[in-house]
Order: sequence, then C-alpha cells, then structure tokens
Amino acid sequence: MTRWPRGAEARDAISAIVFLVISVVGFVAALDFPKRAANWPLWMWGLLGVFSLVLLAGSFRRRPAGKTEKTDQTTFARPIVSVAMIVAFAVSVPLLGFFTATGAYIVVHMTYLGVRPFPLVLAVTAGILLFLYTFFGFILGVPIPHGLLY
Amino acid sequence: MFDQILDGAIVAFQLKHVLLAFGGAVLGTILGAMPGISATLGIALLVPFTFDMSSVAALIFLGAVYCGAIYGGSIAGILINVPGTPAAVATMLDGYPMTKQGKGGLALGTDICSSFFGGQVSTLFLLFGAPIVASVALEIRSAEFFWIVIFAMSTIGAIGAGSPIKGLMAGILGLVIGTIGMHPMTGTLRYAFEQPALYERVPVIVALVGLFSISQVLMLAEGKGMDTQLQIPRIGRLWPGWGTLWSLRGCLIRSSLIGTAVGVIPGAGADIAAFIGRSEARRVSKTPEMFGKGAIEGVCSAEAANNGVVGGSLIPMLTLGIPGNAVTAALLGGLLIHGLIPGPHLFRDAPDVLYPFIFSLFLANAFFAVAAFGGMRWVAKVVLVPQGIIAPMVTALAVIGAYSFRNMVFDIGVTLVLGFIGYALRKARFPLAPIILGIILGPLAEENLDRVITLAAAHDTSVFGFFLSRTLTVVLMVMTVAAIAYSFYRDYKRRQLLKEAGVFLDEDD
Repeated sequence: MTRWPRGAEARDAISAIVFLVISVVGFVAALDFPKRAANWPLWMWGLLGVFSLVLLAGSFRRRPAGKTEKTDQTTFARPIVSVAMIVAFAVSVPLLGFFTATGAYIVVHMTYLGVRPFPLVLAVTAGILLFLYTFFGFILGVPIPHGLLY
Repeated sequence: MFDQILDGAIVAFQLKHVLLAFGGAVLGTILGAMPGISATLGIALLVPFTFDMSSVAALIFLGAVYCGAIYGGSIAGILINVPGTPAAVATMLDGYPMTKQGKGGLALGTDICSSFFGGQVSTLFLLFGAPIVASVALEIRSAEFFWIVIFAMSTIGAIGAGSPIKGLMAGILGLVIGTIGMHPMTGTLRYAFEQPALYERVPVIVALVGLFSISQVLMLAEGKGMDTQLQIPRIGRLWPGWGTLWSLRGCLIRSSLIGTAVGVIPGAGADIAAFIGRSEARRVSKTPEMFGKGAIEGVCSAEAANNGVVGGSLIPMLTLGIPGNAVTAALLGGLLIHGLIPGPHLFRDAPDVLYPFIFSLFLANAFFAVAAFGGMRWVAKVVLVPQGIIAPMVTALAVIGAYSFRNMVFDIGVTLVLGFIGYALRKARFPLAPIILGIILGPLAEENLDRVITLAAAHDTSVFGFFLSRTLTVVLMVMTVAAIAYSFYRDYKRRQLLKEAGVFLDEDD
C-alpha cells in the first residue's frame, strides 16, 4: 500500500490537492458562463487540474529508506500572529482612521517582532507616519481614510 | 529616429528629470541594500508614489529605482553575506570572502564599476535595439501575439522557477486570476462575487503590492526581528584603480553582453544572468580555483551580468508588452496606470515618453555609481536595518499604496488576501513572478485568442488549423513546447545527478 508522503512530498501533496479542489470548483463555476466567456477559464482550470494531478503523483514517489531530506523547519507562530495583526490593522483603518490605525499597528508589530528599545519603536513609528502624511497626504493629495480619529 | 533620440536626450537632461533620476537611483540603491526588500518589492511599493507625476517623470523615477535596486542588492551580500536581492547571491560567493580577507572596499568598488558598465551596455542595446524590435513587432498579428504570450508564460513558469510544474501552475493561476471581472466581449461577470470593485478586474498594482509586499512581510516575520550582533566590517578604499579595471575588461564586456541577452529572454532574470556570467568567467579564467574564495572576476562578472539585465529585460516589455520578469512586470504596472500600453505601437505613438526614459537610464546608472562611491559609508549602514522595522513599514506602505490607486478600502482587502495566498504559495515553494505575469498577460492572451477563433471561423478552419497556417505561429508553438520539455529534462537530470550522489534536497534546492 502506498504510504502518505512525508516532509517536502507531503507539502507538495497537500498543495496539489488544494489546487485540484480549486480547479474543480472553478471549472464547474465556469460551465455557467456563456460559451465565449467560458472558453478561456475552462481551459485554464482544466490545465491547472491536470498539473495538480501530476504534482500529486510526483509527491508519492518513493525515496530509498534511510535517506534524509531537508524540510522547512519554520514555526508558523510569528507569521500567524503577524497575519492577525495585519488583519486587525486593515479592519481598523476605516474605523479609527489611517494614521491612528497605522501608528498603533506599527508600534505593536515592531514590539512583537522584538525591536528594542521602546523609544526606538516610537521614534521609527513617528518617522514613518510623518513620511506617509507628508508624501501621500500633502504632496500627492491622496484622500486618506478617516475614521473616528485621524 | 535620430531626431527622436536627440529630443529624448534633451528632455531627459531637464533639471527636474535629472533630479528624479538621481533620487530614484539613490532610493533604489538603499531599498536594494535592505535585506528583505527586493527590486520588485521596491518598485511595487513606489509605483503609487508616481500617481501624480507625468508619464515621463514616473518612468524616469521607476527606471532609476530599477537600476539602483539591482545594484544595491549586492551591498549586503558583500558586507554581511546576506543578499539584498536574489540577483546578488552570485556576487556574494566571492564578494563576502573578499570582505573577510580585508578587501571589502575593493569588492564594493569593483561591484560599483561592474554594475555601472553592465547597465550602460544594456541601455545602449535598448536604445538602438528596441525600435528595431518594435518595427518588426508591428507585423505581429493576433495568432502570433497569443503564442508569444504563451511562450513567455511557459519560459517564465518552467525555466525561471525552481520546479517546472510549480512554475507552470503558478502561471496558470495568474491567468485564471486575470479572468476575474467583466468579460470584454460578452459583458459576463466572472468570479466577481457580486463585488462591483472586481468588475474591472483585479488591479495590477493591487495584485503586485499584495503578492510581493505582504507575503514578504510574513517571510520577514519568521526571522529575527532584531540582530544586535550584526556589524559592518571596515570597508577601506573603494576605487579599484584603472589598472584593475583594465585587467577586467574582457570580463566586463562578456558579462554585460550575457546579462543583456539573458534579460531579453522571458523568465530568465538577473539572478540567472549573474550565475551564467560568473560561470562563463570561471570557465575562461586563468585561476578558476579562486572562484568562491574571493576572486575579483567573480564579483565583476556577476554584477556586470546582473545590471546588464536591466536594459535587456526592457526590450520585450516596451516593444511587445511582455514583461520578462517580476521587476519589469512591476514597471509595466507603472506604465499602465499612466495610460501607456506597452507594445510595438508605443515607439510609434509615444517616442516623447520612451526616449527620455531610455536616456534617463544612462543617467541613473551613473548616479548610483556616484552616490555609492561618495556615500558608501552611509549606504552600507542600511544593511543593518532590523527586519522587525522593515516588516511593519512595508505593510504600512503596501496598505496606503493599495488604497491610493482607486481610493477603495476594498483594495486593501484584496491586497491582504493576495498577500496571504502569496505567503502560503512561497512556503509551498511556488514562485510568485509567474502569477503576476499571468494576471497582466492573461487578458491579452484571451483577447487575441478570441480574435483567432473569429478569424478561424471566417476562414472555415479550426483554431489549431489557423495556427498551423502561419509560419511564425508554428515556430512559436515549437519553441513553447521545446522550452517546457527542456525545463522538465533539466530538472530530471538535476535530480538524477543528486540521486547518484546520494543527496536528496528540498524542492527548491
């Protein structure tokens, strides 16, 4: 019986399955489009599905017993927490205003990532905000999202 | 043509454009020197800065950033063995050993001169070669253009990426994302999820910023936020001397030409050019055993080829609208938002924009060299900026950049979603460059295919039969198949060699 891949092959197998599922969903959705609008996406989803199967098949290739593999040893804790911070930042921009949200986000994220001492964090945050305001708000005149605050 | 060249030079040498070229070159050098910020990311972040500029000014600024960033990536590689851009890895192989031998200044000085020379040679080819390519490209019709896009996507996906299958899948994913929005022929809304903001497709700038910036923020978040142990070694004298430069003349010319040629090929970026240039230099060197231990030719060849890509890569981008790598895709995004559609007609319709831009590249190459020689002691400190500072700063710039394109909060969401997807794909060892190229080129490919379908019906033949009836199309089809087959073959041979050596590496090694 073929065993489930390990290490890098497991990563490829999971990627292939995800792409395969997306391909099937996209392909089925494209069937509802008028013929002329459906041609291109149907071909693309079909090709993507085929390549996904090739990748999946390749991920089950066997390696001789005893051979070691290098695998990605990254822990995902910091990126996951960073994702949460970035999402919270994006959600708070229309609520609090761009500069308030950005200032809070930069301070929190920098501190979380280990930047020290804290006065450096505050100084860098102030510098970035000043730059963004001067360039985007003043020079370019981009309408900056305002929320409850600024 | 020569009148246009002269007019272009006059416009490029206007004070405001000279200042923009200088500012862009210095900024690009600084961004490239920061580990974690690539040339692509730098340009993606700076495109929104050009919204309020004229087309000429915007192109001059972004082109200068491109030149500076490609050079700047080598500074961190030489000084602290951390490449600022992927293209600097080849330079690092000899640059860092030179630093450890107390010859960091010589390495940096050779780096500057080689980058300058490579950039100027490739810009010369761009100046005289691009109009010729554009005039030939005017004869290209829908069938040929469709296959040019497919060939470009195939080479970018299969050759440019580590794994051919993953590169092709990434390219197809980009082509699919390019279908989001209203189909221009039928008005059908495709995958828009009833979001009006998606009716006009996913904006290229928003996709660029999200895929490259936000994904990079998460990559930076994995590592050490602050490394207090990192120090810049003593640099010493930078100028290598005329004698040294003269002894490197063969290396400079050969590597510059290699870089220019490689730059023209879609999918072969500055990193590939740098390795090919270095490999050739080693092959013809009288002391090949010194490579990897601090050979000055190693630094010279890698950097001349590296910066030689700049002009070469702009040839297909400007004349055909086909960006050959992620950096020119970012530049293309900059062109599009200023209403400039790259392609063969651009040289005919907008020479007053293109020729000043090309001339400004000569200036930018000179400016980063001057800035580097004059300010290396300060520029070098940039490599010490902690990743914990870079990551949030990039996020803030990405968010405001994405928002400022259409003043829509929705675009911030799109940026983040694509950024998170980009991070997941990077962790799964999928390249991102084919995705952004697919987003840009997908609509063009579909539009031309649609025309071919109509023409085939009018000629009472199948689409495939219509393709086969045109010689250039057949050539492009064969080249596409050959490129894909070669990439799989190359990958297979590499794995066989490693297997025989008893080495099993991760997909990307």
